[in-house]
Amino acid sequence: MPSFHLTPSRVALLSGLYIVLWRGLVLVLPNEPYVALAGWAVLYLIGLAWGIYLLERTAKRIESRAVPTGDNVRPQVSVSGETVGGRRGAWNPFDPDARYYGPGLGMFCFVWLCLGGVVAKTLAASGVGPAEILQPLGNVALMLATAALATAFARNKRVRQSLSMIAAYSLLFAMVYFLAHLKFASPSGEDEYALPAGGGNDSPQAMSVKVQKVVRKRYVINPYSSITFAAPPPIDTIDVKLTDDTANRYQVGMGDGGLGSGDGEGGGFGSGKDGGKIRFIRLRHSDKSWDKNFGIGGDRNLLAELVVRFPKMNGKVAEETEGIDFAALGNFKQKAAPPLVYIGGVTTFAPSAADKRVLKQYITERHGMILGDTLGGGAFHSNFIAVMNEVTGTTRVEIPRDDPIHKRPYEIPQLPFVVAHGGSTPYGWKIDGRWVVYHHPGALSDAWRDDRAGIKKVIADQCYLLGINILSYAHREHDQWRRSQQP
Amino acid sequence: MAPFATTVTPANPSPTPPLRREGLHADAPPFLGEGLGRGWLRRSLTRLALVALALCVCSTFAPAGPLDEMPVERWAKLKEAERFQLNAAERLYRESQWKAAADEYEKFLKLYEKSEGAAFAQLKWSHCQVNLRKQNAAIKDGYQSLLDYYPDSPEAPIAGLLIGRTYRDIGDAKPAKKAYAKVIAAHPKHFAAVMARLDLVELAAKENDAETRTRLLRELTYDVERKGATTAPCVTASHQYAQLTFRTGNFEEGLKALATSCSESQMPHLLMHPSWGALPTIVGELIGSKDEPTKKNGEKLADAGAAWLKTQVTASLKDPKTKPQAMAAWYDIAEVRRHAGQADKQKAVYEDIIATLGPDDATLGYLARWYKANKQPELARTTYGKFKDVAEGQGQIALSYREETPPQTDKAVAIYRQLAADVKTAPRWLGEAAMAYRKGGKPDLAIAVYRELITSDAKGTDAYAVAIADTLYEAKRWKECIAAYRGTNNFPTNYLHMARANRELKQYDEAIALYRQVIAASPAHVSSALLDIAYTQEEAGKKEDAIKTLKQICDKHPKSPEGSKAHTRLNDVYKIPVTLGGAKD
Repeated sequence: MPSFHLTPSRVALLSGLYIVLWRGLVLVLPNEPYVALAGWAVLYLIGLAWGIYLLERTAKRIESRAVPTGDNVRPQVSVSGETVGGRRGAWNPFDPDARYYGPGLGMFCFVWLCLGGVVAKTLAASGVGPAEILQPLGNVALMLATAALATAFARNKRVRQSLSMIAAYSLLFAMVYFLAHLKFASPSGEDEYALPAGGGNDSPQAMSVKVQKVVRKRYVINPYSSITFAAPPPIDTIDVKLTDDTANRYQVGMGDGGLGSGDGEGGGFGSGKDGGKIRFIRLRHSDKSWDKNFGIGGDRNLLAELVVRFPKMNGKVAEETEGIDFAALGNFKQKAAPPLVYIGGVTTFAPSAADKRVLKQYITERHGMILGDTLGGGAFHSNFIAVMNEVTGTTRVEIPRDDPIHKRPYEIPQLPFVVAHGGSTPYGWKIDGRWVVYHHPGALSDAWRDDRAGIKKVIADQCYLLGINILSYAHREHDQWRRSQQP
Repeated sequence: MAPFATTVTPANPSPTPPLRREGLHADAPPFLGEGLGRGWLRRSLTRLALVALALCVCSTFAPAGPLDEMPVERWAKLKEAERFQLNAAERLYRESQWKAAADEYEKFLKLYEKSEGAAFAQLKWSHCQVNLRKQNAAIKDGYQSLLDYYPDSPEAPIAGLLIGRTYRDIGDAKPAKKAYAKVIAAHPKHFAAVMARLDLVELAAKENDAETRTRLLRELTYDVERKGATTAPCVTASHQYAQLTFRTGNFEEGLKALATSCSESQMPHLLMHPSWGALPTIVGELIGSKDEPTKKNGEKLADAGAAWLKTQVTASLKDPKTKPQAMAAWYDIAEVRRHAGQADKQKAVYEDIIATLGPDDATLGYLARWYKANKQPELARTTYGKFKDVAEGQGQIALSYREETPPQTDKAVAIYRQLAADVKTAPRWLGEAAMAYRKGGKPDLAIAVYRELITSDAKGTDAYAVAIADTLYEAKRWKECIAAYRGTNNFPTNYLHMARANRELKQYDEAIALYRQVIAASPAHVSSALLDIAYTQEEAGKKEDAIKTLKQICDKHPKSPEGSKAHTRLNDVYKIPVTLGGAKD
């Protein structure tokens, strides 16, 4: 049986095969960031191995060509494993004797890269610039600075050449990595959240109730007292406050089905666009449980439930839930940001100063709303409250049981929860009469899973209804705001 | 907070000096084992009694203030049937049965719509809605209906105020301000208008509107007539205004504001009181600031405060009757210096007192504590040695030995033993000796002292038995402590400690049996004992049982902190998402 030899062409083929396999795996497992990361790491190593191999081969070839031959050549004396070449001042980077592989250039690069790295990291930490760009930029600069320092102090010309090659390769690889992760947004450079067009309403929905035997009340009246069953005052003299009860009065042309507000056909919103959808977006943050109950079998069920309960919304609700980071949240168009963003966690919630600015901008300038969900008994609960106090500039208040968010489209007289991680009262932050943050203290999204965390179906159903109410509230508010912004 | 709770402090606080020290001197009140003899005990008891009295006065204001009570004269105007019905509702209201109370008030309104008490019933119905967290119903169907149907009733201004307060409590600042403005415009002299202004001060503080806040506080402090129910909010405003001006370094203006609410003799101690002038706290805050001008304001305030207190000392010392007030003011100067971080000036005050009036135990005690705080224990002991009450001084010396690092237990115990020669006070000093041994890591010697106490002081046998068991528990002598706890009767602590000890001995079944006994006998400990059972099962390697127990906690106690812990543990450790549970608030 013939033995298998590794030839350069075979290794090149295997390297190409690796790239194909890795990218395929990334496509199959989109929610596993470690697959992509590990792939990049291995690719870096493969590239480095190729770089070293090619450099070594070329350098050897150059050196062998430069070795003087002849009888009257003086013998070469090796100093520190190196012989003095006669080719000082060459410009070919593959030649170890090239003039720029000296200590001066290494030191020069070290000083400037070090300075650049420190400045980038300081700016990122102080939140002056975009941290997501400055932070890795600083890291790369500092890594290269280290390589430059090693180059400056290396005593062997081959070592200096190798270190310079590694630094140049790393820089090139980093550039490729950033280019590969650069997101090309809409032509204007911003994302857009389009609401579905239509004319729904959020009138209270009929709910199935169990018939219970009710004991009728009877008033015990003292027979000796003088009771006057007086008629109420004439109706004209009463200043009836027609505000809340008539908020859903019928208007000519108003749509009859589905969630929303406006005068179009079916469910949807007046400011909506064809093709627009109700989406459920969660924010990616540093807590490792940020994606608990994310996607299929988790919060996707809430979107499915919305369609089941409002059949006319079919096609107007996204099929999948999404996860975005702070940068992406800040990248939405001014008047087309997502109406609601979900933030869940267990252990911590520690956005940077720049992230907090994005959140503040999102809720104040872009009329967004945040749904916070405490998913465990860790510090997330208190961290979230502290961050929201800072971001909103106000303090939390108890959300009334009879607030519209608990009444429309479904009446939710009591807060349903899985486990009371942070108590059993929902708190909110209000700005200009609008809830900008709704904080659920007891793992709301656990109840949306397929297994509904094993809790009773009645309570799980209530959790769905609460989710729909919050979605509806956020989208209605955003729709009204969008319409008010139209010229 | 319910919007109708009266949030003001009593108008006439007790002027007696003992109240003044509460919470002011971090190093002043002697802690456990640091008693300064009968004098201290008497003073402490007097203070406690006065604090209790003050709390009683406060509590009479809190639940039943002018915002949710009907005057007796109007009760007298009700017919018997009306009074019967209203009393029934009031009883349920007092018992916090909001739903039932609301029904009863509603019944009253249906039956006696034109009664004298109808507006009051409407008001209380609204209060019930607020307590049921139906604030929107309270505003629209309750307080607003009251204004619409009974605009001339005595409750109308209160309803107007509470509309504002309820809006404020649900985060709607704009309508709240509007409602407050309406009350102020419609009933400018009513106490509801005064309360509305005080609430507006709070809103201005939240919105960092310093100008409005200062203007309103100044108005309430100086311009509003204090009469009946308006007195309390104005007094509160004067405190706030004084604190606000102190923060700017303006001592004179703050003092002037406080003077509107109390007599001259009360001033020094109210100046120091944390909820009145709060001078030491403010000095500390200002001096602790990193901003240089703020720091200077703090120093200026401390100097001005100390100078003013010194004038009070000089004036009060002339009359023997007011000497206690003079002494208290003198100690206050030292306290202000302490908060200002001026340790030398603080010490100089004590030395000044001793030089002027001669040494007394109280001043020597302060001076000794100053030495201890400034890491001069030998000088502190020398000072304690000058006490007229020798036993108390020796007790303090022993304590100072215990406080050293590492504690000099033997020296302390030797002193306690000497003090225990007096039969009357022997139990106290022997108890201190045993505690010194415990903290000094000598449990056997501590137990020997406790056994000695059991024979000499039969009254405290139970407490000494518990102390022996606790000593063994702290020393991690598990087997012995289990035996010792069996002879005690401080259930459920003894059972919980025995269970813990059994777990340490890997006797898991015994531990679980003990936890189950706690569950059976003490409903308050059910969820925590169940969680302990789950942890015990985990330690015993019975993971299936532990999971079952954790699920049981989630299922039966989803509202408890243990429910949260069990849920997190099932998720994180066992990767089990199906935890059971689920409830409604």
